[in-house]
Amino acid sequence: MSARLNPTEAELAAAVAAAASSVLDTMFFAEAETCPPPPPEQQRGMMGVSVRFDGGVRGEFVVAIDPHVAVVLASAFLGVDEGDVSEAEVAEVMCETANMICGAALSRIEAEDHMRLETPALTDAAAAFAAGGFLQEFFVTPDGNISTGVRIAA
Amino acid sequence: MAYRVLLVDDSPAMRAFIRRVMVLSGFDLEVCIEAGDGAEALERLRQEKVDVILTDVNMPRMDGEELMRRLSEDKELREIPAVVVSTDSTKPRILRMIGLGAQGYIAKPFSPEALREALEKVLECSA
Repeated sequence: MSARLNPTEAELAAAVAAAASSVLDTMFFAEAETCPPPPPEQQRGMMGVSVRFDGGVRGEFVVAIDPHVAVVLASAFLGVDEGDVSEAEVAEVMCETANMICGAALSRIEAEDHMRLETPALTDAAAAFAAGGFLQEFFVTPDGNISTGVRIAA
Repeated sequence: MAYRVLLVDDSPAMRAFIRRVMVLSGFDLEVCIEAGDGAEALERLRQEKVDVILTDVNMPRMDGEELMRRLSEDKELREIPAVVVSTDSTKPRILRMIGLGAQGYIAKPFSPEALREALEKVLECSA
């Protein structure tokens, strides 16, 4: 078994930012830019998805998405009107989004190593971030905010 | 010539996205047959003729790696070109899937053009 990698915070932040930007642009045709942390009231009620990962690095990736942004993204992904997207479809597309951002970020960090992603699951992102240990990144889109957090296990 | 594609992915949303992107990209699609995992893909291949297989890696029941292994062991099915579509673009994974017979590998996220080019390339090579 190969030794665990130990990426720096800067490497993690750069990998997640590049992956999120690439996924949103390529798969959702959505513009997203990194931004400073939004006020706490804008971070409440976000839809959360968690992906646990193992391989060269082990840990958890969480993405929190403004519910309106989630509907806009699901609509773009599925090619249907926003009013025609069901809650289940929004949840499924958000799980795919988390999976793609996490996978793309880890592939940048551990390109030469093995990687395994668990099935994404809906989570309380605010509670996860409040528990601490996450390196967070914040993004703004024309429709609202997205934030990500990655936590590497020892 | 229009092509028959077997699309294997456990996410209905991802299957819907790929199906739509194949059409939008200008790929000449005759029909897109869908399966939710490797086992269902093998069942569909016993019933339908396809020109190319597009498969995810991480799936329940039978993943893309086991699917590629089963295809490589079948004299008829191993002739069908296969392209892997995965979030995992690490070198060991790509080499393993190529070693099992995959003729193309697309990392998610991908553009419509990248998908069309990968499909057309393996179809040209297998013609």
